[in-house]
Amino acid sequence: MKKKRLMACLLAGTLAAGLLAGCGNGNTQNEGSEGSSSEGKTTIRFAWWGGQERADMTNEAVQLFMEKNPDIVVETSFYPYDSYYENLAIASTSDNLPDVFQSYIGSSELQQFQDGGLIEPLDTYVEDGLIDTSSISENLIAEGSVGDNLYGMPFGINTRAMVVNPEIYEQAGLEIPENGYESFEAMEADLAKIQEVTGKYASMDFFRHAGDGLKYYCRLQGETEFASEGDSLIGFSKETFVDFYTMRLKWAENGWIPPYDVTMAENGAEDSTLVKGESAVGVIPSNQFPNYEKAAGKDLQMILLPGASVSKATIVQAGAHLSIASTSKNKEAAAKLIDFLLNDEEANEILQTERGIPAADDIREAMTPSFDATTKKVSDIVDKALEYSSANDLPAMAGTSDIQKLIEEYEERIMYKDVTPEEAYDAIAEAASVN
Amino acid sequence: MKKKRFFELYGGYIFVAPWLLGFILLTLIPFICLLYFSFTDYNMFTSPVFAGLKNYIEIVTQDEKFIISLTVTFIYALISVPLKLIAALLVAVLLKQKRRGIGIYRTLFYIPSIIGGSVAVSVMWRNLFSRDGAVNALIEALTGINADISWVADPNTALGSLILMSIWQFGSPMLIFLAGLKNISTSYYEAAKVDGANSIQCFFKITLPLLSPIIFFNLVMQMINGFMTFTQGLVVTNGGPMNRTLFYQLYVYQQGFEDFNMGYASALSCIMFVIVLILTLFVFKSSDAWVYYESGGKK
Repeated sequence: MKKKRLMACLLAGTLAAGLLAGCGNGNTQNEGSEGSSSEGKTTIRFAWWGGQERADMTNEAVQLFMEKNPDIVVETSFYPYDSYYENLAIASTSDNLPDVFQSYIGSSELQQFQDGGLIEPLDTYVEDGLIDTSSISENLIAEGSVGDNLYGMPFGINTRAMVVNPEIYEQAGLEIPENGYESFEAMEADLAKIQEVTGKYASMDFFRHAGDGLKYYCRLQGETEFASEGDSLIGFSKETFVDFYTMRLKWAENGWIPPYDVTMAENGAEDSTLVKGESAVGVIPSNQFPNYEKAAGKDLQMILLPGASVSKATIVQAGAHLSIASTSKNKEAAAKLIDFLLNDEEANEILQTERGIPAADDIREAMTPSFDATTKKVSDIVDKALEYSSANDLPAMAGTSDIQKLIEEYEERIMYKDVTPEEAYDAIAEAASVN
Repeated sequence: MKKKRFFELYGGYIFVAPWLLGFILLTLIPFICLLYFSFTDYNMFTSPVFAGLKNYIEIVTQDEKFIISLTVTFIYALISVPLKLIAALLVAVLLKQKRRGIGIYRTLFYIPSIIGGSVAVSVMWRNLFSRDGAVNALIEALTGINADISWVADPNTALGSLILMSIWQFGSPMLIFLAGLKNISTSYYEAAKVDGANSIQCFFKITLPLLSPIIFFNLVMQMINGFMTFTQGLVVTNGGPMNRTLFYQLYVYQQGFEDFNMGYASALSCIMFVIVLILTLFVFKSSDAWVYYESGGKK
């Protein structure tokens, strides 16, 4: 009897212990946060967003870094973009931000970190020669800066370009314009012919706000999507906004672009109407081109955006930045890693152009002969876009991220015909007015 | 001897210790923190700043999405909870019969609710009800009509498909109903039969009243679950289209983990706590009128 009771208590005790152990088990992987490990080696952590392929390449490059810098150990981790900033935010609450992390300076997600003073200005490391910026264009340095300080180094550059399926063009008896279409309107006749061939749609829906469709259209009209000063947060006129969405509605009505929900449910290149042969043109970031070509299993082409060749609306920009956490205890080692990833030729050969074409001019030049056919197309379109590009819009004012969300909400309502473009503009303009 | 007394007196505490620890560490302390944060401005990056009632005032007076998400959640709970309970009860009555292989049916009907809250089922649901999903294929096969519509993405049908999903997960209330049904003594039915009652009369005059404590329990549990709905909203529709499936908990999540307004999200949570508390108390109060306890009558 006594024995039985003792057993029961023991069991209960074990359960309780198990529960406690379960609580404490959370994050064994993050143990390296203390900085230096026992053998006199410096440990830093490096995080980025992206998929498995990117992880494999990046880890290989990091391995090379550790071979060349035997006194530094780099622990890596990666997350899908959707949960990336969430993970960083949670890490930051316990002063546990990775020493080096992929970022995008100026993005609304990063703003909170910027406001919290969690991002280290890189200027001193550039002056000390730890990070070499000599072969990186001024435009790109400016893009990674806020005010007078540099916060992010460009990690791969790209541009938005139009991807085209030449096979369908041929079947439709169309010719691909070498320098891109002169305007969106100039495309429309071709779209109708493409639709006859595909029997479904003609184009991917590249008007989406998330795809910078509106931003580009504004630049075409000589306006900006967001204002950098003045009494309104937005920089576009009612006419521009209404024209843009009226055109999009027209394309949707004609069936040239897929219905809104189809586009929203699309998940990566494999899933796109272009790869499925249901459309023949689309707008993508140039660094995504290899994914599309691989998924389609045939040759695709890239041309400039509609109107790009007759304007300076195109932007060539960093696909992502590399930043250092201000809470890092080993900032020099972190700076070394950044410099290595940007300026080491071997490292860039490993990283290929998965994040974009290398930002450093000399690396890009040195690598060009080794590019395969697909990568050559990417680097060619970036080179071509550079000819027609102008500087990115000036930084938007504080509070713009709310307006960004509002535009996306109204975009959805416009496409479901819940509001007209005119009504949407009025509501957005009212919310965007400063005071 | 002394040892024996010790166990008799305190043995029980050791048994409840795991639960108690879990409750204090994982529920009580976080709840107190939540209450505190709801009176602060807190973005996870800087330490919380006390802001008094600011969050609450903003929610009640300025937040359109608060009203939208509250409406969505109420519609969802008001429709899905009764339908789910009715489905559960009907299936339980069917499964009560003694038949060969009835155990297999019971298991099969229970499976959806074991896996129901999981992300995988939500993903499956999204695919079933998407534009080129199995549901449309079935409709086309049966009627020849090509329903060119995505049920989970169309503003008019999105919430409906999520309600359908919740009804489909009737397994756990069904199992509880089944246990309750088996507890009803067959002598009542025999007596009724002798008096000439048909099976419908039996159901309404015997089964329902004797089952009312179980219905009460299931109602309270499902109601609370209904107001806490989150996974489906996040995975299947992500609150869209046009906020038509923006469940309250999803809105809390968006405020907290997407916009990092932790203080604001905490205040939203506290409001939901009060709402659910009031509703639960209301159901408890109303139970005097309709719940019948066989042992000892009224409470």
